[in-house]
Amino acid sequence: MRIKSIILLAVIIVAGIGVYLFSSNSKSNVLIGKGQISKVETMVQLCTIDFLNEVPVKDTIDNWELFGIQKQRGSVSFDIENLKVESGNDTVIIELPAEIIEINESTDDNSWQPVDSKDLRTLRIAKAPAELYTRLKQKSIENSKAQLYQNGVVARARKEGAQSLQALMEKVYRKPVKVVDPTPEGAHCDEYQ
Amino acid sequence: MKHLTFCALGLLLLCSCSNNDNTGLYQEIKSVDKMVFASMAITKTVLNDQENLFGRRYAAYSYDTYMRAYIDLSSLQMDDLQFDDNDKTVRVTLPPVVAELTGRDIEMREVYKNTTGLRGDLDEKEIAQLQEQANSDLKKEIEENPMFKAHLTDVAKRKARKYFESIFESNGYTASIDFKDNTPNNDNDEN
Repeated sequence: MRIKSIILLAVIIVAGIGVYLFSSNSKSNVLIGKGQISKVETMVQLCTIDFLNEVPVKDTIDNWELFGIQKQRGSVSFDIENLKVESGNDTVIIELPAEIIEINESTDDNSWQPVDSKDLRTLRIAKAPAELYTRLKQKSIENSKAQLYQNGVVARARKEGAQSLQALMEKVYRKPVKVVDPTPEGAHCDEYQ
Repeated sequence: MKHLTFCALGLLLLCSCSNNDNTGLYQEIKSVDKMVFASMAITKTVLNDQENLFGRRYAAYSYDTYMRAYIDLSSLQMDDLQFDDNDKTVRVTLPPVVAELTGRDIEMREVYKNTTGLRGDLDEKEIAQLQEQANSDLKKEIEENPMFKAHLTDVAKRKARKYFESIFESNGYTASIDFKDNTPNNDNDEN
């Protein structure tokens, strides 16, 4: 009886080693296609703030607690292609347009690191579906936009945008230019309060 | 060791609080004076094929990376604009057009997936690794193939000419627009 148990155990161990070796000897190929230009757009935008954020992103989505670390790269710009310009005899008056905030995931190395996830239904650490992480990152981008308003970064961008636009247009018009800002705290400030 | 640290940090944060929090680990905000004339999206596709005793999984993903082309307005001097009030012409020499990467999509779009046997779908960490490989490959490609930057800067120059000609025209002047050379010191490409 004891010999049979030992033999059975040995068979299980040998089989286990076999399965491990066989499965670890898996074939894995990664093919990366060449980059293709998919869209080209033209614009005239004045960019006054560039930023890089590294943020821990965590949230609860569909009964999953998710956590990762993301590097975001963004900017605050103004569309100056179609400005409202009032040209008087002595002074040119220009209205500063609404800000455009763009935030993407950075292209620096390791810009997205999914760290951990927990299934709240079973209270176990488990692998969450990939689409939940996409929603997590979308929410994180919105949070970062809100912070730009709350921390006064947008207000700073607008102030610097007005100064920069004034300097440029004074070179063009060769007379005093006044840039007026109807929303110094940000044109979309209310949406992110 | 790095993974263990991340896991420990993750567990700590997951246990401590479930509210949405976005406190930065690192933040760099800088004032710039860029006039952007063109942007470009570059699509990258990654195929992953894995096979072992338990089955096969094949998946294809794609995502876009963005570049933009700009001139640095802070280096535009009064000398760069030569007015001729008799002929009503102006000769403008703009700063060089510079191209830079501005980021990538947050989502890896699943183009195709085929999983057989007992294999599960790729998890987020595996997808992130694929994107990391594609990202390194793209940055190398942009470095080695000048076509990407050249195409973008050409488009930006055309737009810049059109824009400045138009604003000087509205001011009664005919403008001729040139650009300064793009020296290595002016190349701020993020690669």
